Amino acid sequence: MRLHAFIIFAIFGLAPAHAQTQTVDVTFQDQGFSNGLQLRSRESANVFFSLPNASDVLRPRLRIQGQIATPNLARGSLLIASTISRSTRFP
Amino acid sequence: MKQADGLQAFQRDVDIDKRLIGADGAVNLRIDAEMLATSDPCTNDLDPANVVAILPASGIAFDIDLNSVKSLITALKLLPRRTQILLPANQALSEASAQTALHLAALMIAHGREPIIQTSRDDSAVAIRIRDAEGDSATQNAAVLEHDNGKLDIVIDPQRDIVALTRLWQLAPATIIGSQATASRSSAPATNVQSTFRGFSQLPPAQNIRQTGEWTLNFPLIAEDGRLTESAVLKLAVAPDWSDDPPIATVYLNGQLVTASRINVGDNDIRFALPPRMLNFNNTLRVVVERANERRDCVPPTGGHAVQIMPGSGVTFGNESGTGFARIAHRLAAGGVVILPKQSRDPNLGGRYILLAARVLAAFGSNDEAVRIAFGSDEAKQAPNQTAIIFETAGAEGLQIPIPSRAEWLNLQPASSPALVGLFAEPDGSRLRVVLSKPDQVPDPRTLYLRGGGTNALISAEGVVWHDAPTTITSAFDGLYASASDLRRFLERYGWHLAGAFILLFLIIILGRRMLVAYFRGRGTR
Repeated sequence: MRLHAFIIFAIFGLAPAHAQTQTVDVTFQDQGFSNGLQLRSRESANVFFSLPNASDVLRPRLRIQGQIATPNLARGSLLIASTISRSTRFP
Repeated sequence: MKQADGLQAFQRDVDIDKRLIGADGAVNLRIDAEMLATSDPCTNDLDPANVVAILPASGIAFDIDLNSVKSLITALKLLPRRTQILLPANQALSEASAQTALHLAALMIAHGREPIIQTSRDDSAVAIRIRDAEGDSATQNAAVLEHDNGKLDIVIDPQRDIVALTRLWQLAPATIIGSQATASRSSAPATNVQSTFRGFSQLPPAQNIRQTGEWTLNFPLIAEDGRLTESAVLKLAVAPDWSDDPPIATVYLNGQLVTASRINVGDNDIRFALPPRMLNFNNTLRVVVERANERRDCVPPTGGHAVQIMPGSGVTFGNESGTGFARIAHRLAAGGVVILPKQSRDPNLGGRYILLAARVLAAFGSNDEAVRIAFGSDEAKQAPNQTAIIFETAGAEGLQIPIPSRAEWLNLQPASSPALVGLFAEPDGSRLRVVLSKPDQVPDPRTLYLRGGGTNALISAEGVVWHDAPTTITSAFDGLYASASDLRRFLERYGWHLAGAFILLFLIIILGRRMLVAYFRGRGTR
């Protein structure tokens, strides 16, 4: 009985994995930043991504890889924020 | 962040709330670094030694069910960086299919993608496939989506108006919505050819500058109607600051200084000529604005004052036709033909030829919709007045490169290097000969940087190996100086010989005169 329950659980639990989803990776390099970004002391930059519609996208996630050199730092922070842009459609 | 010696690596994975994705899938990330060297608010707290580098592999990942993708624009957004363009296998390549592949590849290269043209599909999720001629073209669509085994193909019908589709994609991608696209070209020209001014396509946003601010602007050498760049104008709007000295603006063209001046608070027009010898096919203008130190008792740590490059900044195009490659690109804007050898009708080989042709067209910044493809060398003879890019194969003598000035011919035997391609522009700009060292090996360089004024270039799989310098016109003064220095070099080498010869001649004249005098004197006394 316990085994049956486990099998049922396994079937239902694994079912979503059978939906044919593909992982798509859009990198900074693809957006034209072939050398990434370098920000000194106080600088900011914008990176624009054009993804499919929100309803089609599953589990969007951001991955930031970087390197920091702070030989002379009293206080510091790195902020990554998303600013929703309005529709960029042509009239 | 903490102070530390040496480099520290960091990595963060964050789930994105779906509500942060905009209406058409737009996500705009703003990255702010704030690294202050001291906590005293009245001192200069910026130390440029504090750096954050974000690696190019950073980005956004998401999962998507490809079977649910029904819209062409979504499919186009899912194309990977190395996009496959699949030619119909098992049949000779038709002109229409080749032309479609050329247009798509040139468009993608111009947008920074790396297309691959081949016949067999790899395991990438989304690819572009060109429909074969026997396939049913009952549908009126230029492009349809086909799902197959969890993969998605964008199938393009080469018999339809592919140029209209690529234009639509280029100009207004968001209008291609739904599973079908209908596009047609109008006969009227899209741009007003009378106007010689083009604004910069993308203007960077305003910057708050405390000391220095920097912008980069890109512009092509050749406008879409074939005109060449002549001069540029920058409109800078400058907010006042707390110093008495006006800021300084410095402008670099492809890394070389072109103009620098003091700018006033308010609106400024900076006009400058673009020297043809410094221009490439793709040019970068770097604008640096430097403000003087602010004169106040306590300089606050936040702030800076705005400077912006305003709309109305742009490039003026002239009526020059250019030299070398620029002249060919200038003529190609009015239409032309790419002539491929007969053996490239084999789709397995033809893809590589088409990709190289697309790279050359993209490097020229050519608006390639008027460029068609033909197979076989007879085509060149049929239309002698047409601008042509002709693919040839080097004979047994190897690839021969004419090196200007004193050197003779450089013979590169095909055996000595894997595969090379020579680009040779005819002086009148009517023909560009693309000579392959080996007919079955076509190198695929990732990047192709060509200079506008050059006439000959050598290309390998790594890129441009050699490129002749743009031809320069020597002035009369240069010619005079050259001949004077030639004379000096001649005297340095043969000066003593020459002096000896002069002394010898002098002695002969003196002695001969003496002898003649003695002879006639003797006769007179007889």
